Amino acid sequence: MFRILATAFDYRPRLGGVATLAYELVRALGRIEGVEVRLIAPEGPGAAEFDRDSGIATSRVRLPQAALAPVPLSARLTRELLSWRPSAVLNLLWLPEGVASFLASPVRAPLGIPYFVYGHGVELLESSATTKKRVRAAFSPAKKAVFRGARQVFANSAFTRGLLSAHCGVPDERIRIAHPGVDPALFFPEAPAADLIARYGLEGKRVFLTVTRLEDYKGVDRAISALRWVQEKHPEACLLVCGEGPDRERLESIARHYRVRDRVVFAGAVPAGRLRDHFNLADAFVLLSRSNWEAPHLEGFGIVFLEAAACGKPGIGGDSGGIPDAQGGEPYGWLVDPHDDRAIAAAMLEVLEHPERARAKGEAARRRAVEGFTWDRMAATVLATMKGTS
Amino acid sequence: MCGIAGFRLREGEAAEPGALERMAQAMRRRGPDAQGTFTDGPVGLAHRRLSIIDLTESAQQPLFNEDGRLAVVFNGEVYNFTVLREELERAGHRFRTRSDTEVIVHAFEEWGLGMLARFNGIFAIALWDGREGRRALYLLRDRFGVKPLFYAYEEGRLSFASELKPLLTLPWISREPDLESVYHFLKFSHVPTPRSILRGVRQLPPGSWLRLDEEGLEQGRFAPSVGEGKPAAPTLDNEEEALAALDRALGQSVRRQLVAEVPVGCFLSGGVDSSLLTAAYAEAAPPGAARTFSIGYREREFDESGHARRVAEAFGTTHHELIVGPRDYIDLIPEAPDYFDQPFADPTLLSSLLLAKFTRREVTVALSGDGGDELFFGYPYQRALLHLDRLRGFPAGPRRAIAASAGRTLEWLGALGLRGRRLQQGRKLADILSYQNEAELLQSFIGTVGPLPLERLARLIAGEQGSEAFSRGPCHAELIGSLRGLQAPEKVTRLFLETFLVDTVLAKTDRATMAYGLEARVPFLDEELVAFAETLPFRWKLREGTSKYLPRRLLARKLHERGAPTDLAWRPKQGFSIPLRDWLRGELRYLLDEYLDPRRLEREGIFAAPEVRTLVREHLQGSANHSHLLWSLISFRMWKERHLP
Repeated sequence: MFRILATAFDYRPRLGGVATLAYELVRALGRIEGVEVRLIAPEGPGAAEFDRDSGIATSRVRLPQAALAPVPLSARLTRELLSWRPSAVLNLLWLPEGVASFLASPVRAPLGIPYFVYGHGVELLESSATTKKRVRAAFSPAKKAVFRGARQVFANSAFTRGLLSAHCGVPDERIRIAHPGVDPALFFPEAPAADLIARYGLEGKRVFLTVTRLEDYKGVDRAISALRWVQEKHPEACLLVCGEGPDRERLESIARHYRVRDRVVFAGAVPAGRLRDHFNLADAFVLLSRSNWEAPHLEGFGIVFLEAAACGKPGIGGDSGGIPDAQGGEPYGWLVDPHDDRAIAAAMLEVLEHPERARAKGEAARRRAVEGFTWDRMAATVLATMKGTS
Repeated sequence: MCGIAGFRLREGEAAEPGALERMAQAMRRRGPDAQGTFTDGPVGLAHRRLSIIDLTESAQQPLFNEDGRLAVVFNGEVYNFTVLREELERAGHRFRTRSDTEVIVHAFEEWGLGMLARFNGIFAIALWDGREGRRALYLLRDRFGVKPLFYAYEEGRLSFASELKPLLTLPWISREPDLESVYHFLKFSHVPTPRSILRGVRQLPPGSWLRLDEEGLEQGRFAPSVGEGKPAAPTLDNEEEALAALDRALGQSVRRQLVAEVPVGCFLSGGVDSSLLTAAYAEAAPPGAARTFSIGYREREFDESGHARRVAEAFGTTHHELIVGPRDYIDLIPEAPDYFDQPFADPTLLSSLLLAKFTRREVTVALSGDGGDELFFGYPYQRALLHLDRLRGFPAGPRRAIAASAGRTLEWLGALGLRGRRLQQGRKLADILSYQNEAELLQSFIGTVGPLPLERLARLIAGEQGSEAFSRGPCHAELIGSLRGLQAPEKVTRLFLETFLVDTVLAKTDRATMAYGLEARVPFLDEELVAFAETLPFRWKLREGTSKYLPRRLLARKLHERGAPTDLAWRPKQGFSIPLRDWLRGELRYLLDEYLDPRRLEREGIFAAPEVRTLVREHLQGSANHSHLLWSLISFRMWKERHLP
């Protein structure tokens, strides 16, 4: 039996890419025969209910803010190392989990238990943009030590592999790309849900959909700006924005400014259970994240492209960060300069004017996602690396 | 009122009616009521009509003389047309319509360009003289530039229009922004006449004519500058006589300008000019017919609507009031470039648009107080310039050294976190006082932009182009040269009349009213009233620190006669300005992201992205108030996106 002790600071019931990845990866690892998984995750509202139904052996630990979190986490980790004797530790973030594993070295190393760290993207960069980020930046030497001490490091994309090597001092041969995945049982093509069409007023509309936390680097502003060129020819085009965040008010101002406010629907946060229904409203999925190296803000991968693809939707993606890995490139949609409204509009117009082309790209994207990007496939890659067989 | 457009192509080329239709369509807002075109070989004229006088179809333009060889398209009014018509009829001319337009062709037949000296009005005219041996196209613009006229002369083709938009429909017009104009625009908030924002397009200067005939292109001036060579009239030394003369001149002007076959009203802000205009209008209009229109602001600081109401009450007008708030302005911003087809960055254009739209619901013609401040020394800036003129004797070296060190000290204080309006005003003054020569000093007072050191302004233009534009020397060189040797009050008056009035005040009123098919008339710029102001001794304009002394006295008297309190006449000028400084840090901050994003600025290549970024940062941090300049940059980029996508 291969025993994996996973640690995930960002975990369900929280939403978002990292939490989804942690949950789905741990679950998929647990499905593999001959593998046993235990998970340490932080306490939080709704955690107990979630764990009851998840089928994952989860122990929760009360954690303070990230900077101090490694201490209690490493105490819990040490206890588990001594009592359960796992074959390996899998840390889904370097801070605080990776640091906790590093702090537990006096116990872990003599027991011969290696640890692995997963890199997602932006957390690998330092910044002095905010106090919180300056505190994180103070951990830079610890970060390098964590990555040096890891047996292997996983990256979610080729882009993130570059960050690991440039910013964390990890040599290429110790990095494995383990793309995130999608669950085809959760995401698949379906007829549009009538209640949602009515709720958002989408009758007779052509829908571009984005699902993202509303932050200024996510490129929703550029999609709105592009929509004004699109709607000149296609007044039936609209943008359905799913998600909440601090940028909402600005986005609404921009929509009003470009006189497309009536063509942009802000749906707010969508419950996980209705995400598929939202993807299936769309003619194409849009996410135009751009890299801001000062903040820093960037898209390390973009799991949401796979979810849209699994529903048969072509993706219009900003050519930045790890999006090319997630979106897949031209056969599966359009990769555009995320700063170039005209290029974005051109892609949207192609969807509207050549629906057969968009459908073909969507179908190709679906095949790519369900055949090449399942969580089981990711788990297999991760396991093989941990076992040292890849 | 109307829009005109057209061209004269090269000999052998035929004017294509389709091209004229497209030009006319591009300015249909100016004239919602009718459209007309005319071609004669290489010549084409187009007209959009807003019917004001003689509403019948027979008065649709182009209009012709008896044998049809003279054709005219016309935007504006000739207020004294009935007098001229009688004279022309006596000379044997036959009229087919009641319109003032027809007077123009007959007057031209009779007097040639000499007709212009007889016109009292506001106009932009294109006249085709197709008579044998002449075959000349004339473009004419009124003395103060109330009506706009753009033209381009390239490769033997002369094209013209009331706005830029129609010209942009012509394939031979260059669509390249003129970087020197961009630089001046950043400095003044408007594009100064005779330049336009496009490389190949010019604005015909006020009081000028342009002729293209077989011999080529020629330009001339038919009206003198205001005050040119006119001594003060001794008869006006007496205050009572001066008051009576002003009352008479204004009354006559208003009566002339009330001629219309559609409803007329009057803009009333509650300031001295519009209040006095309202008084004269209420006296001239039939009893109970006077209608006034004002805009009120939810922000108390700027709100004059209470004063406007009191004036309306005193003179018994039917008063209409629109109360607006920030949302009304912000929602209008994206529309502004539709109406302002040259970049224009005086933010009060938003108020003008709101007021014009509101007024058009009730009337087709509105009287406006434009010109009163320029003629009677109403702007605080005019007084400031008068004071600064006294510094001329002060040696330049020490002055600049003091200004520079004061500027640096204030900058340090800003960097140390000291904020506030006074500090920023101090920096502005230090910038002004560091002028190299008189031209620079005078230019600091043109337009609505607070000055920024010129070197820094030039650096905003990307690459080598910036310093090149900067080194080309001052704008308005000719005007500034002609002011040399004048007494300070005359100098300041002419500077404001020939720059700010034309390119900011009148351009704003024209575009804002034309956006909604409303005709604005400007009684203060009537020929006889201006002649009065030209000869009025200066002490009746600025008296012991009180600006617009005589108009205030007249207003006070009229209020008193109506039993109303006279304090309304003596209030200080309450300039309205949109709180851009704060809005750009709050509600409108998204415009900085949208239009001044460094990546997109770099792609466009006109502005230096790092310099713009510094301005944005300084403004957002509060260490400087760059709101006017940032607004100019945003306005330019919005304009370009709309008109040169």
